[in-house]
Amino acid sequence: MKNRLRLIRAERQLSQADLADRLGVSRQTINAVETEKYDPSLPLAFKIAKLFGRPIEEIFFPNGT
Amino acid sequence: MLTYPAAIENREEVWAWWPPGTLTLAYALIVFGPRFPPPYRVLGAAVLVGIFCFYVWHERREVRHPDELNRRIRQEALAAAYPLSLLIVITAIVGQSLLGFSIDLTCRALLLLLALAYGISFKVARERYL
Repeated sequence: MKNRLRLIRAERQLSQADLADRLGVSRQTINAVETEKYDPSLPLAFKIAKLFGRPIEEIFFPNGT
Repeated sequence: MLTYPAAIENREEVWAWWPPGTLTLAYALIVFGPRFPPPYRVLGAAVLVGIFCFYVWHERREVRHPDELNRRIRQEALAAAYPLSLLIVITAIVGQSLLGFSIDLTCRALLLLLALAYGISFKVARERYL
C-alpha cells in the first residue's frame, strides 16, 4: 500500500516523533509506514486520517493507483 | 519541526540491544565456562539458562507491546524462532544419541544455537520493517 504520510506530515511541520506521540505509537512505526515497509492497522490508519482531518483514501491508496 | 534527517531516522534502532546482548553473554559463558572448576561451570550454565529464559519471557511479553510495529516484529521473530528451535533440539538429540556427541558438548552447542536462533529471527524480522 502506498501513502502520502511524509508529505502531509511535512506540510504540518511535524516530526516523526511528534506524530508518533500524538498517535501513541513509536517513531519507528511512523518511519516504517512512511517508507512503505509496513502497512498500518486499520485503527491506526483511521487515527492518522482523523489527526490530519482528511479522508483515509487521501492518505493511503493501493499500489496500482 | 523536522528535526531528524531521514537517513538518521532509518538507522536508529531502539530494539536492537537485546539479541546481541544476550548472544554476547551466552557466547562468553559458553567459551569461558569450561575453564572454571565444576561448581562455577554449573553456575555459569545456570546463569546462561536464566538469561535465555528471561529473554524468551521478555520477548513473549513484548508481543503485547502497545506499539503495533514492535508487536509485529516480535510476533514474526518468535514465529520464526520456534520451528528453528525445534529443529535445533531434534538435531542435538539425534547428534547425541546416534552420533555419540558428549552431553557436555551437546548442551553447550544447544544453548548457543538456541540463542542464535532467536537473535537471527529477531534481526531478520526487524530488518524487514526498519
